[in-house]
Amino acid sequence: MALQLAGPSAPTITQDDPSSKPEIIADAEDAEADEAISDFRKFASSLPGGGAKNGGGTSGALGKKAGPHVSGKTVRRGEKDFESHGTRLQDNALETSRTAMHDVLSYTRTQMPGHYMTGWYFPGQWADEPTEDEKPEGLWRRDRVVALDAEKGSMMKSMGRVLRGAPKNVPGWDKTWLLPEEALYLVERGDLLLRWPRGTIEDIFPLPQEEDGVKREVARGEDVDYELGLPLSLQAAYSLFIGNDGDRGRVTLEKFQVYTQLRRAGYSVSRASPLLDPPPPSDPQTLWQRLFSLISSPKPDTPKSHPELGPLVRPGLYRSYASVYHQLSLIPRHRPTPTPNTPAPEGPFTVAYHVFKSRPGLTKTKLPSPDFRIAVVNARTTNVPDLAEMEALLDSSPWDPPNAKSGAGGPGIGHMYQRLKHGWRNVIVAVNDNGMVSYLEFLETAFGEEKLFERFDAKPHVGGKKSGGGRNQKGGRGGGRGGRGGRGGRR
Amino acid sequence: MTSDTPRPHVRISKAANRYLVFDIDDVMYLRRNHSICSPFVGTMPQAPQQSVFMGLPIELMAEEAQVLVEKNVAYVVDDCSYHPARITAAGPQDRQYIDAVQAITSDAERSLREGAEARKAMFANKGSSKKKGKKNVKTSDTPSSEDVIDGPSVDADAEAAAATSLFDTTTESPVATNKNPPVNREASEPWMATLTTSDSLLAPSPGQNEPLASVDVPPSYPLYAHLQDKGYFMMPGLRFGCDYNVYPGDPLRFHSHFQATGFQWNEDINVLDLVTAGRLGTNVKKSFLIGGKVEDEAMPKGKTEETAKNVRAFSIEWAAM
Repeated sequence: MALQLAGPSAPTITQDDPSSKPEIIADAEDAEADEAISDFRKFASSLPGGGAKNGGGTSGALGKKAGPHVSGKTVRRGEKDFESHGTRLQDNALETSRTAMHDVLSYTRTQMPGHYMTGWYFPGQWADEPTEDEKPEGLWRRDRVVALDAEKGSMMKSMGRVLRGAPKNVPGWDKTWLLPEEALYLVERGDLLLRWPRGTIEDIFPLPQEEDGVKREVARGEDVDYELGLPLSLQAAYSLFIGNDGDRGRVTLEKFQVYTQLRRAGYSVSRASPLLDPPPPSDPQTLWQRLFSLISSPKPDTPKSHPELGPLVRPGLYRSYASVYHQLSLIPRHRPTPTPNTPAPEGPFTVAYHVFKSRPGLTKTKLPSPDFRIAVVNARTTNVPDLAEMEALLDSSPWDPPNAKSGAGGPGIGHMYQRLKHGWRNVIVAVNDNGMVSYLEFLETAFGEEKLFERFDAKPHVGGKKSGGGRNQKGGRGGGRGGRGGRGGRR
Repeated sequence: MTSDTPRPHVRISKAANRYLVFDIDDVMYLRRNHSICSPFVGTMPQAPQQSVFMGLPIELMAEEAQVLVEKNVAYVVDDCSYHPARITAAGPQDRQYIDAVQAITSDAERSLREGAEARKAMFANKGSSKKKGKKNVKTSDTPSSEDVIDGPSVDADAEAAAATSLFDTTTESPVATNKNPPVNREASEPWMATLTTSDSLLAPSPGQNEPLASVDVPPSYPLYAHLQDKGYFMMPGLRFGCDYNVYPGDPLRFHSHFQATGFQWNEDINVLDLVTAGRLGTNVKKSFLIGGKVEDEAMPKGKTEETAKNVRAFSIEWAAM
């Protein structure tokens, strides 16, 4: 799964048609990347009513109404030409495509009674709440700007939260509140009718009145001509929810696009609160051991000090490769540690979203450890991260060493590449260039942890290569040429 | 350069330095007349669980916004600040907007009701059809395929949808016009519509009284303007590691020919960059195109002014030796 996300491909539904004849590689690649705009004609015909115009049907609202279920597989790619050859056939084909595109996209989202949720935009309601830095709980209280009348539909399994602990005398305390990206995504889907309240929040969510010690529910006022609040357009929703990084109650467009793409692909996505990540497992080294390791080098694989002159491998008798290789290791190498002391990441290279594979029992109030962590950067304004940024980003994700438990196979040489690919920490960076997104996976990996030479000592006994063992002994006898002899023995 | 048509200017929404167009007519106009083929970035409401086909809005590159402004066919408004202000300021335009919403909702309501009635009439004609299976539905449903709501054309999904509606109508009382059980529960809820644009809310005549926002273009803008002037269609270059992916015509119909990267006239170009881009380009059957604005001293005498004209472009192809 990780591999599916890694690499420069988007996690979209694969749209390969198995029946299409194989093309040469160049063609296939070309088509793969070129085919962002697929053939709208075929798409239009796959929609009910042939992709009819305004007011055509309810939205696939809340997934209940038998909305058009179009998967990538049902839509075949169109054929494309190299260049214009001025024929009417080609012109007509293009014109049909454009008309189909126009028809499909002229659709207006209508909300049928019982099949939509109503959300009210109250940007100031939680503005005074503590920020996520001050009180990390993954709720992002300050950024929740849309209150729902009621939750409806399966989409809400992973969206919106009731703000626990909110005082009961605040109107809307028991309502589900949405983050800007959630609200905008629901508006895009047609599941949410967003309204701009004309009055105060008390008009929309009246608090129960207390009369003679008896609490009485108060009904909301009449809604003639949308007097309570103006139903907002998609454009209005964008203008309310899209903003710069750090704007309260807004989300950057690049993050929003990554969010929706992942949601459409079926993942559950939640805003990351990096501070909430579970603490790393206790360090196998004690503090004293670590302090001690700073002074001397108790570990056999840390570089040894060498005399200024003389052979790298001291003359002597060697009975194993390990001792020779330990002397040969000159360059200090990276060892991943479970408890890094790098500062928290800043700027664009910060984990923005936690991504969960869809699975039963995933509830938004009790999210498990995410399957992926995603940082979102703008391709046009961001440079390749420098080492400090990369370290900070990786260290903000939890310690996840490659072992059988983390799905990277067991020990042993057979699983070496699996382990290296899994890494000790990993983060996915989504690069967004004006609406086109590419996903890259960054790993903290340690090649030095894979000690290939340890095999060399174990093997000769098992393997039937008698001559190898013999030469090894000779190398040992050779005294000064011990190192060389040892190596010769392997080749 | 100016368009002769009396068409109103295209409104470009600027949201945190990104440029969006919401009006489908504007989008198609730009596509047909100004070689703008920016990607659609919205979720498509008709099919919200896929990313192959995307819906409104389109996202323009800053270069595209700038070219359109220079051509005097579009204007840019900072919607993040202007639009909310317009909503707050209640005025006569509210009425227009509400009327538009109500027109849409009553349309949708009517077409659903008519569809349901037509279907019921049809089933009534069929006589006692209580225990119809899917097999019969297929034949009986085809005539209503022009019904925009639940009369899809013939495919598996349509059958399923039709089957559901059939069972609903048979179980409900004959006078019911709403065919879905939840409707009764939420009877007080009105029909609603989310318009795509807030045109009528924003300004009586587009472009007037709206504060114009500036456009920040990247250094490769001259190359963009040059190619755009030549009638090429361009997309963001992310897929091929360049600035722009250049198409000879609408990408709906044509493969791209070039991967273009803009350079400054006196900028040193690393040979390895050429090799990298050239090899990639060859693999995907494209030429690597570089270009930039000619600096004044290198310019032949007499040629100046417009950005688009001061640009030279070179395409690099891999020689098979």
